[in-house]
Amino acid sequence: MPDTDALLEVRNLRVEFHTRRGVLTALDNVSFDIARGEILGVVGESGAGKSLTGTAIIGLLEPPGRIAAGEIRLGGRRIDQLDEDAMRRVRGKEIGAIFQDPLTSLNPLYTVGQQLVETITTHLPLSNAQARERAIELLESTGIPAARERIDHYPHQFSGGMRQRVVIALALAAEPHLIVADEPTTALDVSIQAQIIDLLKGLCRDRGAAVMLITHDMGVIAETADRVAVMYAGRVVEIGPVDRVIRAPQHPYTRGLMGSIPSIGDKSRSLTQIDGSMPRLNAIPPGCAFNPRCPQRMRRCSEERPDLMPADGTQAACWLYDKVVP
Amino acid sequence: MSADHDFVKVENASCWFDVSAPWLERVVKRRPRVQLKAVNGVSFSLRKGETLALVGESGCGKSTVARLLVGLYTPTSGHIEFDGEPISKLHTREGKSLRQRLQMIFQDPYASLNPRWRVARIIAEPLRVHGQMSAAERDARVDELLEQVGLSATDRNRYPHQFSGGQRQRISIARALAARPEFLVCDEPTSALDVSVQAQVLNLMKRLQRELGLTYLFISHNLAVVHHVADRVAVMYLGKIVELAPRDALFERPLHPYTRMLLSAIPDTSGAGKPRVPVAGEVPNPLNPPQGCPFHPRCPHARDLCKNEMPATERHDQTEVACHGISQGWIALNEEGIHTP
Amino acid sequence: MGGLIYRAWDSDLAYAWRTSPVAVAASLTLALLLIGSLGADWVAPHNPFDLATINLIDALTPPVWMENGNPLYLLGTDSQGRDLYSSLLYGMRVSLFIGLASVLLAMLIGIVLGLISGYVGGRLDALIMRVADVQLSFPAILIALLIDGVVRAAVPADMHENIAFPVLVFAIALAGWPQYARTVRGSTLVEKNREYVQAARVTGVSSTAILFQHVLPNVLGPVLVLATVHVATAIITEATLSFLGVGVPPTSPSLGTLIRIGNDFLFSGEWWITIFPGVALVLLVLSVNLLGDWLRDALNPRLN
Repeated sequence: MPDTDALLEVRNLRVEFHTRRGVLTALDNVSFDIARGEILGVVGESGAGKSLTGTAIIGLLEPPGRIAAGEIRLGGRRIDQLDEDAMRRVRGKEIGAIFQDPLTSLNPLYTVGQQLVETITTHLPLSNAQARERAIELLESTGIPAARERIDHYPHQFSGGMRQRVVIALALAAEPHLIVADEPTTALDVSIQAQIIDLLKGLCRDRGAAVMLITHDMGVIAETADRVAVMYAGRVVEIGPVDRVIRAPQHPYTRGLMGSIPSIGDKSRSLTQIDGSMPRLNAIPPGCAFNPRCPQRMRRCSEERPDLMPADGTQAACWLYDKVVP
Repeated sequence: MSADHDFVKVENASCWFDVSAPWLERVVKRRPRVQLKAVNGVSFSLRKGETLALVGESGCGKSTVARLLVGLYTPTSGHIEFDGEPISKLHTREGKSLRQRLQMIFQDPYASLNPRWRVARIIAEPLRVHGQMSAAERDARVDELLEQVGLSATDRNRYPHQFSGGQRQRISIARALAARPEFLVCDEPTSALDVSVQAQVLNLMKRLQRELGLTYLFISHNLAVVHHVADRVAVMYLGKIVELAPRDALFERPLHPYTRMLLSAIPDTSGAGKPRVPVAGEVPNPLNPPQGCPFHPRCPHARDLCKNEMPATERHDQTEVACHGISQGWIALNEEGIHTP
Repeated sequence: MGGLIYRAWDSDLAYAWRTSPVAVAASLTLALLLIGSLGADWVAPHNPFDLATINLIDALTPPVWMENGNPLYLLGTDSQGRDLYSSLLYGMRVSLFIGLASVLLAMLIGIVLGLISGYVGGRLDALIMRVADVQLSFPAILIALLIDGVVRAAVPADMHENIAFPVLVFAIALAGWPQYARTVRGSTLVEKNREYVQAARVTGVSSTAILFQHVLPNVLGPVLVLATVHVATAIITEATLSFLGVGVPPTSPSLGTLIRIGNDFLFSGEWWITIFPGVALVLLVLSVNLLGDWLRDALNPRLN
């Protein structure tokens, strides 16, 4: 029995890679929830582990990576330990996935219609004809003109933005409760990005689907998400409502990150620079992973690792907020 | 301000690529020759010490313009000058001294350095080509450059794969600066980098510009980055410049409908709930551009004139813009832009 | 220096080698064969070319473990009384020499043509590739035979022996260069559009310098794998030619020559004269092939 009405619960997730030079911990004690119908942004720079989190949740983690500890629950039910067949049924029916590159998400040898119908009939009790009608509806709802004709086209006959719409249609085909979108707009032009973000947001709200939106682009998060989790070196360092995290970030890394994003709003401000770079997986410092680069580092930071704790309006994994009452 | 004449001058430059099918196929299937008009009549100029940004989406031709300016491509027509000398001189024997004065920084930090060469050799290459320095002098200069871009002299013996993306871009910058150029063409130098790394590299580039008096042509698709670095901005669409204006004028009073659309499409962290111009359609196939104004299929203000005739560039205040609606007056000059105070 | 050796030992490639039984076995076999053949002057118990040491009485002695065997001649002798073991070692040396030399020459021709073809493009590229295509449609043996035949016809008989080696090497090389040219051309086409080459062009580096200093080091990877396997093919080609009698002169027999000589005695009971050179050839070619295959697989993920 679920004790919250969270749709997705990730608890103390730990993903390890076993290489011949030792064990690399790529995700370390990652925990967060996604409520039904909510859009959670997962943001971070390369190597932070955000894509890996999405991959682990969808169940597509390949060896030498494996889930070493923790739980992933969808609708109260554990999904991190399911076998391949059971996981395949979960994927599609309950979790839909959108990846960055629409070219590789679609099979170039089958028409768009064939792929949609296949997904629909696999997960829903509909006949082929009914599934085809549903597919056409889906394509229309994603804004593809002349859907009735284009349903029989091949992926290469669509442009980049159109392809991504097809991918969104595919992800929503079996009416999943959760969509995991990994950099869905990064490969697209700016003007198309805006269209796709709007589309994703609108469709998910209409269908009550929750979204885990993984991206490195804070601007996309600002426009789309309800809450956001900031990741660094395989850990969640801050999590909270979007406007709090963006306007009043509490964790020093989030502050540095927000300060380094050039924004059209303020002129001639010099960009904040965080010296150094994110540590490699085999060189994560003890204690807080960010401590060598932190302008507010204390002695404790290099000794003990902080968990997420309440900070002003958000939760931040930082000793600055120890014993602070929210 | 600097000398009167333009440091870099581009006059009606075009670069067309022949992408026709092979001769036999054309004869048998009676296909016409097909030209990709990547750059189609572009004009702008730069003064010494300024940063001009070239902005646009994929397929607009900005990368081609960058390569035209450093001699990697030859213009099909038009005229490009660098400090009074024609760019075509780069390909001659006398062009070597000209080459030393301009350089390029590329987008991909992983492909812009030879993976088999050590860093010292990579940075010293321009010195070998242009300078008459002894080996010791070259070594000293390499160390000097490494420090200047925020790396250390001990990095000289490493290979590129031992560095992160941001560090590799710094190495690229060091190589570009080795022979003391005056003009740098930067093709999306930070697009492949993480945001915090981008900040480091942009800050570095600005500092170097101040210290060394460099002139930059900065190519980007990211308007926020452009806002941060540019003095003037040119917006490109399908091989043409549709608007060219000083930075503040462009961002506060954008005139061309495409510029307005682009500005409102940016997901911006500071503005939620700002007024949105409806974004329509996609960039058409550059092989088959629309007749008349290339933007008309997506333009909310398009009229018949736009479908038939290419607009000429006109000047409004400090902005140069190519739009019938603006010249003829059926588009208001101060439709709400993104930052009306 | 010690640090260098440690790092080399610890590298991914060395690790892959250490943990692959096939690679280790093939390398050890090859090493033994190489030491034996290249050091034949010291390793071989007899000198089969020194007529003074050959004793006709010892002709057709079987291997040492058989009846009538003689511990002086480990693997027996041939019809002239030459020690088979020593002949083997010297013969392997000839085979190896021809194999390596022809591969080196093929590499030289192929790499240079491939680089030029890929970089310059246009009509020159088309021409070189058409020549390569035409050549590839002929089996290597045929080409080598053709060249050999032409040279023999053109050159007076007493010169044959002097030029046999160079002609053989040249013939096999000519049969083998297209593969290198094609591979290098493909890689060159990719590399020449990469930003580091463009950066060099912007700097004003000459095309020749770009080709040989920038592009060449980056296209060599697949070539080395090709070469390893090609050595095996070259050795077999030479063996075939020698077997057919148009290869090396009989005064310096290769493994192929030995096999041919021994062939006549196969069914009259003196099987060892042909079998042992055959086994040696198989061992040599197999170990080179296996090593080449392993190398290709081991280098692959890194090439990505």
